[in-house]
Amino acid sequence: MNNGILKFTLLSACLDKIKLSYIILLGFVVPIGMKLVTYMHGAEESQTFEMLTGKVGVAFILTGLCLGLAGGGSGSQTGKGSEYLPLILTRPITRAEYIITKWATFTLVGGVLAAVQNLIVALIGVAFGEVLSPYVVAGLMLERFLDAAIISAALTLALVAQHWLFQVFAIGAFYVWMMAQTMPPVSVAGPSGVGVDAVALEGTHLMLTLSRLVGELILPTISVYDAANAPNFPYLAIVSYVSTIVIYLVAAIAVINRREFFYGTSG
Amino acid sequence: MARAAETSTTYMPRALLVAAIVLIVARVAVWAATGQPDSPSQVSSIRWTALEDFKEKEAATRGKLVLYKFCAAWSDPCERLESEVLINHKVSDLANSDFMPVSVTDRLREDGKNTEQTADLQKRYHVFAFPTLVIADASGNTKGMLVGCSSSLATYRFLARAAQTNR
Repeated sequence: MNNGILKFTLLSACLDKIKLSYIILLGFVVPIGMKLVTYMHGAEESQTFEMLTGKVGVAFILTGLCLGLAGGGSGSQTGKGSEYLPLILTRPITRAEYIITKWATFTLVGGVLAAVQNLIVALIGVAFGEVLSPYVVAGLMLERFLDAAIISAALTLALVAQHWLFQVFAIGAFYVWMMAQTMPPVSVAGPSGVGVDAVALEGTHLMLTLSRLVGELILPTISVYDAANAPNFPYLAIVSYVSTIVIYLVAAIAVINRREFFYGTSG
Repeated sequence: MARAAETSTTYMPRALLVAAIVLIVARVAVWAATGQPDSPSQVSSIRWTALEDFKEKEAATRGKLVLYKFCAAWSDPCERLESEVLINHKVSDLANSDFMPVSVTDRLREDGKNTEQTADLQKRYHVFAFPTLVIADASGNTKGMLVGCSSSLATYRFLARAAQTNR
């Protein structure tokens, strides 16, 4: 860990008004508004609400925070070479220190924001009579930190691996993962259908199954409440989660662009 | 600083590299050992009443809400709901204590049609996907609906919210 990189990244994330507005709106105003509306009108919580207060919400917050932070500079600094300033001021620094510090900072900021959002939403629920034990709320907050850690690792890799093929793959994988989050696993009711109907049904089924498999492969998350109350210890979920983070970090350290890392030198 | 001066900036921590390799092997091994389809013994302890044996009056006299589980035998998400979500003891305890659990099994694909009772219920609660959990009062009014195999926590909160309004 490098204190200089940590502070630069933290400041870059927190001092950009556009990023902050985006995070406040999508991370707090929308989900909190939705929560209040469901109680005021007796409506049910929607899947969109579940997404915004879950791992998708963490991904949105982190995407907003991370954009433009690869080199350590904020949007206002980019383009003048000052994105290399942190690397100059903190030298000598290893690639591993740089990547791990970036990842830890993203996790810290994203995790804190998402955990606070979950806490506010839970407190609103409790104020309206929802029964939520401190154990459940703590589990939710921990879960957001775990989500932030794995999504940050994926974003860190996506920020430093600049080959166009990888970027296309990363964007595609992100959208496929998002697709699986739009609805919980379901089967469509009714007869199997024939002709075009059957093809459409099977196509939808295949697409959702595929997106879920891709999601479990690239961003396997841990549901703390489910894991804590599961009859069997969730070995697979934990090993998948930890291994994915480590793989992303090792890959990020291995592929970080030498030119970027050595602050613009031709090396 | 002294340590960094002695280390190449391109240094890759060996421990991290070894951990990555070990974890990949462990992931494959654990997946092979435990990632198989759940055994049939992993079913929830919820005391489901079959639709044909259910009498709405019974729920009314007990002052309980009815929890309908709409499922089909061929549906993977239904199996997942049973083996991963409803098996959670907090969910099953709440379902047993505050609700009258009723299981409604769709047979349209297998038999070509459903029983009249099943078809009526699916129509009444607009069931279009499996699994669907519907909470209704003794008069049949919908109190809540959860479509799909959500997490244990989402299911628990769905049940708890309905139970809270009924107390």
